[in-house]
Amino acid sequence: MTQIKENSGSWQEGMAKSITFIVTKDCQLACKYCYLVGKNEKERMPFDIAKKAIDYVLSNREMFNESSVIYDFIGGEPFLEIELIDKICDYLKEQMFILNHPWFNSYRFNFSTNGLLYNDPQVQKYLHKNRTHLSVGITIDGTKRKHDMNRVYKDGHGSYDDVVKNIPLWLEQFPGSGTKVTVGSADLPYIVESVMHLYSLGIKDVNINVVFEDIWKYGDDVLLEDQLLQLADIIIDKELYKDHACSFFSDFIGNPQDPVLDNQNWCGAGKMLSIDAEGNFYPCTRFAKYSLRSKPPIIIGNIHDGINTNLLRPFLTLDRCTQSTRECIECEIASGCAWCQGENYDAADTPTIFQRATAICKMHKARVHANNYYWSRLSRIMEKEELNKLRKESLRCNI
Amino acid sequence: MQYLIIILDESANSFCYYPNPNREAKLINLSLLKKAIFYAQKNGLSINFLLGKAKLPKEYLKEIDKVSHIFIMSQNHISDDVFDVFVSDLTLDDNLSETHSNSDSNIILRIDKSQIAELSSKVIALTGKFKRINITIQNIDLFTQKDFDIYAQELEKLSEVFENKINIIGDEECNVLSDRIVLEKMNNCDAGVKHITLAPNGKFYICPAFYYEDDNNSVGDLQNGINVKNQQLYHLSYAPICRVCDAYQCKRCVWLNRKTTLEVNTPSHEQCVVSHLERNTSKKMLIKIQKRGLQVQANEIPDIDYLDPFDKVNRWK
Amino acid sequence: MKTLVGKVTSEEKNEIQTLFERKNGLIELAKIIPPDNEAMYEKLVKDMGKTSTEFQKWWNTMAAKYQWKGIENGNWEIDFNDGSIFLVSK
Repeated sequence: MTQIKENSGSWQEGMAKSITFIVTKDCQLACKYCYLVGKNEKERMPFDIAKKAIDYVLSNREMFNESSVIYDFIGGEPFLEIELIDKICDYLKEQMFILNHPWFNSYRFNFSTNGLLYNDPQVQKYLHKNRTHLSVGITIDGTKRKHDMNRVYKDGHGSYDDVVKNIPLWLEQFPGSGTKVTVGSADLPYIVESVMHLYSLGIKDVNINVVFEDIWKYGDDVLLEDQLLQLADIIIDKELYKDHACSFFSDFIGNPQDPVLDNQNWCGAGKMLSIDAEGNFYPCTRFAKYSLRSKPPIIIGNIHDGINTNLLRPFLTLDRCTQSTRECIECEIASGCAWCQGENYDAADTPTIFQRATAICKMHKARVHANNYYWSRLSRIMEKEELNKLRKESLRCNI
Repeated sequence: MQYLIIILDESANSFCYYPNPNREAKLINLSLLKKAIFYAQKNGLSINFLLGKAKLPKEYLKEIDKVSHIFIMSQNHISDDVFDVFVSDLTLDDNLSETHSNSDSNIILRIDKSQIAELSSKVIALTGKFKRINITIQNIDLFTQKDFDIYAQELEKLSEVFENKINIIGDEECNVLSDRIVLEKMNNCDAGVKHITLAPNGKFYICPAFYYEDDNNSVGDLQNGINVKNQQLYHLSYAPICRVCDAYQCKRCVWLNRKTTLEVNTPSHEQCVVSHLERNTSKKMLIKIQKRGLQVQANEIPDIDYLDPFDKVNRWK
Repeated sequence: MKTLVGKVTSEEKNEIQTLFERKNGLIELAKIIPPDNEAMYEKLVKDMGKTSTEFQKWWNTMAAKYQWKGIENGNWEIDFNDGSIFLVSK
């Protein structure tokens, strides 16, 4: 049987509580597609705020009753605040142990970093100290020209060279790790070379997606489809599918969805808890002020008053059909068409999370075409292999 | 759309969940009123007029007479010309036994959460005086467990009065007790679906609460018509909690929803519990009435094990 | 050299995974306990002893139950994704 590598799932497959500390709103980079419109160098989380947030979360077990937890540290760039993060993690470990909290038996510290500080001695010291409870992803967008088109320093120059040098150390310390790649309109022509480049760097798990924002131009869908068709051919011809994964290709996308059985919300907003430097709570970081272009933040509580559970009710009862247009509900290729609740809210005609943004509609259709082609070719290969196997067995019997 | 609410006067008292605006009297411009009435006529809408402190001039009354309508007004501003639905604030009207009665009319009794312990005694004072008593509790969103307990007790006391004195249906109604018994499906306020409000500034609002809260909340004007964005969200089928609920008498106030959960289609926990306390008391009352041998055209109200239907639909439980 | 020698049930896998996670948690906690915090240190040492014992007991019980193949200087490993047990020889 042909082996096909799939993209790795998240730790505990989405069953863990996600607690996000927005430790800083600063970043060395000013990526062109970054949704964080309010980044700044001033807002850094004081330790005391983190401590109070932890005390609140760990003392409210009824509300936070998941058996596992992922503590996410995001920014800006989280490793800019490694000293603070180290202190927060130490306090978390101590408190979970002292309180005999079930999460002591099942926790992770998670980072999505731009990788620039990965080899910094202080960061390395932290990683060694917490080695068995870490998940670290470095974002590299592909080839130098694609990466440097978007992932630029504040003065405009690209960051590729400073990131790529840290990839070998990262893969050595976290073998099998994947990277997240974001594709905008301008860098569509570089998808194939970028995925191949990442594979050549030893990154076998490439999570890639087009941005959800409404930035797509006429003809972008054709470009995307063309790139993905080329990518499909290369992955299949070189048999890379056996030990490399690219999230553009998945066997669950492009099917109709049942309005009752497949009515889940795509996004986990509301299930997560995000905490900012002022001690405000959000259903996801995307609802914090620095993430929103045109809507007020949705603050669901704070470290002093706790969570206002009424504000969580829309998030916890939201389903696919209630927020989708009739066209989306009846779409023949709906499965795998993703959305971001924060972007939905930001782009909606009224301040609601119940209006699904459809900016990626054409891009999803293009992806489905290429995906169908990919699986059509791959399944034929598998069929042939099976036939060959049967033929050989039958020959053996005849002999 | 079935009807239009027209705020004739800025000083019109609240008849619902929103607080009294306490504004100075200022009548809607007569030409606007004419356009509004014409708009209603063209669209086949009846009109509920909200009256305030100002006495209506004859030319206003003449225009109003052209269209099917009712008047809603506070007892403080009562006039012999206009009287259909009478609004009484318990905070203002301590002596309800002296209230102007009209057995053909409805009364809306607005009561603050801080006064719910007096609810049954105040309502008892009104029985026999009106065709229907509508109880509207202010500040539901601030209810605590203690308030829920008191409200449940008061509903119990009220149900004893209603169940022994009257036959409920066709005799005298009290929204929080009798409505659920006769309803077979949701009978919500349906602001934004069945009715829309025209304010004295000539703009449309989902309901008066949205106007008084912030006049930037408008959803169109007389010149350009009504434009409710995301209008589907005002419909029951787009309300994940309410569409599985059978507290049919609940007003499902979209203004309170937005205030408490930021979404017009999602009620607060407090709203749901209050409505379920009413539902469950109605159920008990129905059983008692039926035991007395009275014929009531009503379906059985099923047993349920929750006070908040959110527990049924929480997708992350 | 790694050879598949058996599989445990999902519940059994969860038991050892919890103990494994706890063991790792205790080891990393040990690095940060202030030397003067005797009470926490005592609690940690006690917990480490208990967790290690339970950890070993799980392997002994499962080995007896499933009769996995073993070799001298080899050890068993579990894949937490599906509960597969491997014999690893050095």
